[in-house]
Amino acid sequence: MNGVAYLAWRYLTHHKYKTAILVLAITLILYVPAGLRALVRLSERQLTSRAAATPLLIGAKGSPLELVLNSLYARAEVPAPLTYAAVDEVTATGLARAIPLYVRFHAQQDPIVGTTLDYFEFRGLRVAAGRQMARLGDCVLGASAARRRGTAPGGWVISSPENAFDLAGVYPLKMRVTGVLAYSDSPDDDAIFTDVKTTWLIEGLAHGHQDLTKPEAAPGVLKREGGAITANASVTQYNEVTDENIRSFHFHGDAATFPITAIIAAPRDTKSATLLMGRYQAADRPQQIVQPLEVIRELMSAVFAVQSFVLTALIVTGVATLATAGLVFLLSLRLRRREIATLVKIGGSRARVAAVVVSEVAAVVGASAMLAAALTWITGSFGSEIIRNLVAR
Amino acid sequence: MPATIQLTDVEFQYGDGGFVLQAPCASIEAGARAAITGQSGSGKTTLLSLICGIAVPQRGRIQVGEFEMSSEPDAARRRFRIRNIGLVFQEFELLEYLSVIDNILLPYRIGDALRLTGETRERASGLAERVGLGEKLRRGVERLSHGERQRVGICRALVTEPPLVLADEPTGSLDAANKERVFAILAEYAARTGATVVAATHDRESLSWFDRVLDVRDLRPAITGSVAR
Repeated sequence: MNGVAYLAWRYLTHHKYKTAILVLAITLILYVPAGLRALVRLSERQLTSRAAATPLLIGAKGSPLELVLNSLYARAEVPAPLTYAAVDEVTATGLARAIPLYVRFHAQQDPIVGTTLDYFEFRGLRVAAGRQMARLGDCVLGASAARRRGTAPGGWVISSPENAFDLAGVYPLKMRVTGVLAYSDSPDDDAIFTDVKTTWLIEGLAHGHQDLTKPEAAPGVLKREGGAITANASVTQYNEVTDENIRSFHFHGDAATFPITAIIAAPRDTKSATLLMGRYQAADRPQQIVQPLEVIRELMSAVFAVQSFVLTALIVTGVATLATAGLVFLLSLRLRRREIATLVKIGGSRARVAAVVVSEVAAVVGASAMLAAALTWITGSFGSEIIRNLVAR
Repeated sequence: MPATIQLTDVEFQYGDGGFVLQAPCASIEAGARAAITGQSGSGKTTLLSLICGIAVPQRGRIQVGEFEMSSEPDAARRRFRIRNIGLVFQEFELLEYLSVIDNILLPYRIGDALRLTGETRERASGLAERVGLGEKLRRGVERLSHGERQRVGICRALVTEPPLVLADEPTGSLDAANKERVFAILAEYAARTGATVVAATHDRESLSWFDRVLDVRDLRPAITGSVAR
């Protein structure tokens, strides 16, 4: 290390608290706007690419944004439900492939996405370990969800009750994990996928219990009238679908009336898309059809507007902080007048004496810039997770 | 090589015009130990500044050895100073953020005319050893006593082995024991290298150490020849 750099280094390390505060302040000035921009750009790219890969979404009338965020990110508020009949209706038009989504339940913090096998093909999701779900009560995990939970094929996941006091409502269902998806850098990594029928099972629209015709169920039977058997609450209900009890599971009601939260409509072509959209334009229609890309662009334009305000505020704050940092340097120079005079007196060259001070400033600014660059890089690298968590709120 | 100092018709005045220093004719021969005396504010420090080229006279000529201090540009004076003149200050003027050894080696870090080598490091350590600071080389100077600080200041002045040492009130803030020690170090150095030592002082007791005393009021030799010690 040459003499100038050595003296600058010694000064900075001797005044380590002052140096640390200056580095921190300048790092924040540089990082916050850069990190914010990186995050906004990343979120725009992520949201837009996910939305662009989802041509049309059909849901109950309400907030288009809520519908898009719930359907694309398996997070946010649950939109009003529509019935499964809407899926058949879309399919019947012959204009698009209809993929149902029921995104309402969770297993701890992970969302449970009820859908069909078409979804995996549509999103290009591949099973990396194990196999696809095959029967009621099976599920496959997104890569991050599996890692977080430490669960592999052969393991299980228990759905969380929506409300601890809702005795008549959603009971926990123990689901068999048949596979783990390959990492896709998308919200699918954090989700638990199951068949839409399994989500109805979670909701209580289907259930399995002891065979009431068998003698061992006799204590629970209240009356038998022809083919109808009335039982009391002592009859054992199953909270797990197994190969042994699967035949006892049955739905009460018409599946066409069962709820889903959205339908991904993948039209055959642009004309089919236009025709399909036209069918949902009527004011009296209880469903809405949205183009996720448009909804996200609208959201992003609002985000960019806010971002420009925030950036302006940050720039003003940054200038003020830089001015303060400059003042600290100037005051420090005043305090060091005697030291500088000594360097001059003993014969230090003008250039070297100036270089010591400049090196100190450069070291502080350089360290701050490197720290800010590293933080911005980290934000860019791990921003996907941050964005997904932000969207989830 | 010991340096002779020659002042001819020197006149210096600060910018505010309040103080005038005149030195019609004065010389300090090579290898001398000269004291510049005078009351506070009489111009002792100014004279040292002129000799080492920190200040430049408006009139007259100052020569240190072969070097024309009064006519050379600032950069040349600095280069000459850092190589050939060791400066000792009354208030030591050490850099608080440097250790003992780093303060001693400061001329090598701040002067582009000098190069820091293993030999210079060894010389600096040896100097520190000789003045009793061998065990404290890595210690921060803010943790040293008054006397120790002045010894560091002297080591810094001597580390380049200059032919001329200028000391401004080197014992002004020291007790008797430390005064003795400072003069002993300077005497040892002067005896070993034959360097010229010039010190501004108003301490009459310390004059016995010098072989020549100049009164700054008229810069004519007040006492010439050897002084009994």
